[in-house]
Amino acid sequence: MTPIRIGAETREMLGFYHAPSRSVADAPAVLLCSPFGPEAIRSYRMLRLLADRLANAGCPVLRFDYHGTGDSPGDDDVASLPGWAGDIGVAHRELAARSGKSTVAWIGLRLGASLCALAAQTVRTGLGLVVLWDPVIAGMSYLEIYRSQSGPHAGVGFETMGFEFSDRFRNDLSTLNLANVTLPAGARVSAIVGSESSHATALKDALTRSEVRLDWTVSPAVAEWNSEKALNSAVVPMQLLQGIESKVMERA
Amino acid sequence: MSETTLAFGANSGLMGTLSAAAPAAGVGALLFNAGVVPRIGPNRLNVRIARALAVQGVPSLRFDLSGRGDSAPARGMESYEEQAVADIRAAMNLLTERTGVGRFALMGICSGAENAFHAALADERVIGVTLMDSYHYPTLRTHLNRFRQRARMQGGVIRAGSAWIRRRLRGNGNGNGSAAARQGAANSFGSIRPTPDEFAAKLTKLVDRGVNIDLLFSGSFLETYNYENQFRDGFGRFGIVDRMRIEYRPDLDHTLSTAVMQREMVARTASWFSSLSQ
Repeated sequence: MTPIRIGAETREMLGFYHAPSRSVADAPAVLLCSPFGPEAIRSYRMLRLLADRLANAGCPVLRFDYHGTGDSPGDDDVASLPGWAGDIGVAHRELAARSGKSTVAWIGLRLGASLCALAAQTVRTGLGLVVLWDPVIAGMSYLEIYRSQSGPHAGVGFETMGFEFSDRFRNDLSTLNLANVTLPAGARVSAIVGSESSHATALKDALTRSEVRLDWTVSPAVAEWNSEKALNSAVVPMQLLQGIESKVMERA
Repeated sequence: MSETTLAFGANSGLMGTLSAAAPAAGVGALLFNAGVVPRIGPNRLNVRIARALAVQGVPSLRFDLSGRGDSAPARGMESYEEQAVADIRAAMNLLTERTGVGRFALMGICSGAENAFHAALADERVIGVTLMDSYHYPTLRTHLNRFRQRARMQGGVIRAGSAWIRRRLRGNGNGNGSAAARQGAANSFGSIRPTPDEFAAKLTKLVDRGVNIDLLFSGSFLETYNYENQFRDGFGRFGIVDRMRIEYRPDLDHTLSTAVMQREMVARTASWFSSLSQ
């Protein structure tokens, strides 16, 4: 695993490149797209272990922090969905160039999944399987979760868990509806949701109507990593990671 | 300011981000995990602290201890505590190698505070420690305060008293009389809280060495820490409380979960480092 700096100097990001531990000719490169804020912290170790698993299976893997998040340069005021979707495109090109692979699969978790869907509209070269792992489908509902957790404070309009939500970011989230995002025709999409909620059903209907090749999975275990019980635990859901690895390694 | 993320330590298994400042001051800062939170700290606190310190010329390394975040699990047979101390020493070595600083101050929260404390005891290069929400030693007044708070919330002394008795019978008491309070209690990583006498002896060792000790207690643990002079009441007999900075901040919570708290903690830490460098 090698730490690398990616992107332009004005929008630099920290990434970790996991070189494959063995050569597997048709193994894709895999880009891991993390969630936002508290969920990024909760899932950090789990995604690191997923990267290790995939690298051991022969996939070059890149993890990275969007600009202004995690250990990357920048602060909360640069948060924006189009900006972070652009970051995915930059990371995609970096991974393709570094690995020499012609196909890059994306695994997006929570808001990272939603960003993958947005980024897929502009990044089409070399795009392989897109895994939407417990995606944030309705941005307004997601925003409400954070708004309900935020306490009164002075200075800024809205923040939760130490992350400030700029007006721009709030607007981005409030207008996000994944069911309205059109993924490229022919794209392979694997969506994993926790339940058949109304939002999930709307997304499934939209993906089914589109021209993507859809693999739809409902698994209550998909969000266990995000539970309060898991918050202070170093245990990761290995069965879930194994399932995702299997999907990535399936031949197109 | 420049930031570099790099592997270091035994088998290059540790991962950290160096915030270099030029010119480097005489003291370097080490920031690391609070529980299982990665090196960026609770809600990115460590990143913000590191960047604020860099502005005032203090180089820092925020890093993951073995088995956390981006660091590999330890390969040896050391205990959790021994391994954490070894990791912190490796971080000091790196910061010296990269910036030339030879003295260090550590900032730890929760289990991170315990790790900072153990490293300070083990390594004389440590000249300062901020221990936020480390060991708590409730006094009689702590319990009375809590009882009064519960009585207010539960609508009366009788109800609060009944609830207290039920908790004691279930073995969930946090009182002075519990075995855990007398003998120390294990945290989620298996470390044992020292007895008051042991903790005082170790603190004495550090202040005698000239280590700047900054004990910070948030308002998140009302069961075990809930008033301004609690530490003074519990440890006054050891003659060390006037040789340390002790602060109870009920306006802060354990994970600095608002932007206001984060800004306050960043400013507080930056100010503390200024005093250390003088």
